[in-house]
Amino acid sequence: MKQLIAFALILFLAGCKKDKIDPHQAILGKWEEFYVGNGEYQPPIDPPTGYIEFMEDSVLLTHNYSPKSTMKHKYWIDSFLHIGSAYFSYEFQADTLKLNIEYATSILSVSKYKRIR
Amino acid sequence: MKNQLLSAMILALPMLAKAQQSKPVPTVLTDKDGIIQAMEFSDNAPSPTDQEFMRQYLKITADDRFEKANDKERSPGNTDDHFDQFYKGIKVDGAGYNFHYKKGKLFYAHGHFVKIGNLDIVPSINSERAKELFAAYKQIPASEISGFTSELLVKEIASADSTAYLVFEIYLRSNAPVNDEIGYVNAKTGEVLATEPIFSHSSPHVKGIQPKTIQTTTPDLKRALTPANGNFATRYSGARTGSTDKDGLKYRLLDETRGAVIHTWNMQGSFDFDASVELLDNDNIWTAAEHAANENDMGLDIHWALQKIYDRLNTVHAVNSFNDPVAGAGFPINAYIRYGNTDIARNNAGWAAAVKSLVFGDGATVYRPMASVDVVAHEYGHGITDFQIGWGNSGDQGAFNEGLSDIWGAIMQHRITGGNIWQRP
Ligand SMILES: [Zn+2]
Repeated sequence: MKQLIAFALILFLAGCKKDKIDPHQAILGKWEEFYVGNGEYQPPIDPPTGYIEFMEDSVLLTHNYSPKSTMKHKYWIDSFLHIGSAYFSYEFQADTLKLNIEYATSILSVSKYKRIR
Repeated sequence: MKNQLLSAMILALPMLAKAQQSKPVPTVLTDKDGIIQAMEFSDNAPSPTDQEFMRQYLKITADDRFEKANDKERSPGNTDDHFDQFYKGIKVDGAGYNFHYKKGKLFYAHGHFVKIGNLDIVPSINSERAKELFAAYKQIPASEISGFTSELLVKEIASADSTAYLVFEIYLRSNAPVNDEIGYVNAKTGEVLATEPIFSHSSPHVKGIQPKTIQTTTPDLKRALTPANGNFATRYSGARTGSTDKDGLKYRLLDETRGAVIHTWNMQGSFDFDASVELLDNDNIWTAAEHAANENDMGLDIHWALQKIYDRLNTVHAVNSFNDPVAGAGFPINAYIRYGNTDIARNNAGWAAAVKSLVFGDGATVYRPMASVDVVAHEYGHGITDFQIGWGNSGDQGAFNEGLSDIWGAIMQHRITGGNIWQRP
């Protein structure tokens, strides 16, 4: 019986560990913004206006489709995602990144991005 | 039978009203522990002095002291006094009382008095140790700490059923990771009892420590030669005039003619305030042809609206900027247009509390530039709320914060561009 409990405990702990996401890794890559709002339903931004690209060296590129342009920003992650003076709380949900504005009392506070290749 | 009962009640109502009139009773609001949060004294009832109120109604003890932090005469005889609470000489964080007088008579008292049973106010650790413990809690290496400030306070800890503790409030500057929280370290045990985000904290002693990016003056540019009146082709409000000033050969959106500096900057899509630049014009006639590209003309709407909002509050209500100081210049009103280059930043406007500034997106992707009078007044309202009440942007505080700002937006749009905008057409 004791062994069974120990085994279950190991399984449980292993399960927990697997769920832990390292945001520094998880954020890398390209994300297309498809939602801005306050959490309520909004039709997806259509057509998408651009995507953002997190690089390993703390560089964030924001790309706009029309007119085509790219800007370079500095980002870093601790308990928040910081982009220059802006900072957001973040949540990874499968292939979606959800950001909540923390730097300002703003009209809209929630943005969502889906991972693109 | 029902009808008779109803008419009896109706008959009784004027009597009730009369009974109240003859013996006026102060209206009292108390918290769950019975401590008075607000008390209103009617005009024909006697009312106590502030000191009497503290003794009689708050029942303060020899350990409690209220220190007047601010008194303000709004018109002759009408004054507003604010007192901070101290316990055995230590400031009680977030506690204090306000007294409002009409023609010298107290008519309304309200505030938050923290009743403390018996708290030992001799710390067992020093502020240096409290800083170390908070840094460890935040996993900030000592080598990354570029400075800190601390203050010994008595503070109610929300997660501990609002029990009051002796704490060190620690503000710690660090480069990597950037620290955006204030720590409250138990001055007896060294335990980190609570943290608060810096952006929603509005105690005066924290306001002094702002990120270096805040631009309250323009050190890079020489002082203005003369203030001038610019002609603005605004995006939403037609042709307007607003104060600018001339620096060298060009005019910029800087107004130093009022009781607080009003300065409108251009972020050009950056998130970094250090990257902001002046909006400039050669002849002070700011045309759409010159400025509509990249939505820069939104700066004209905002610069003009800020001056109008300032004037309405200042001339009608004698309120100077967000902070309305007893004396001296009001807090600088800095607005940044074209803040950020993501959809959420561009289709947005906000009050960035950490830098006490207004930020506006260029729209351009989903909406149009965020620069109409009601939007500017809404964000200006957040500035007032931040300085005067200190509400944050989440939960109930966030909801009330937004509600108040919507009211500011409606009032100012009505006062500045006219029309009863809250009525359906
Ligand atoms: Zn708002």
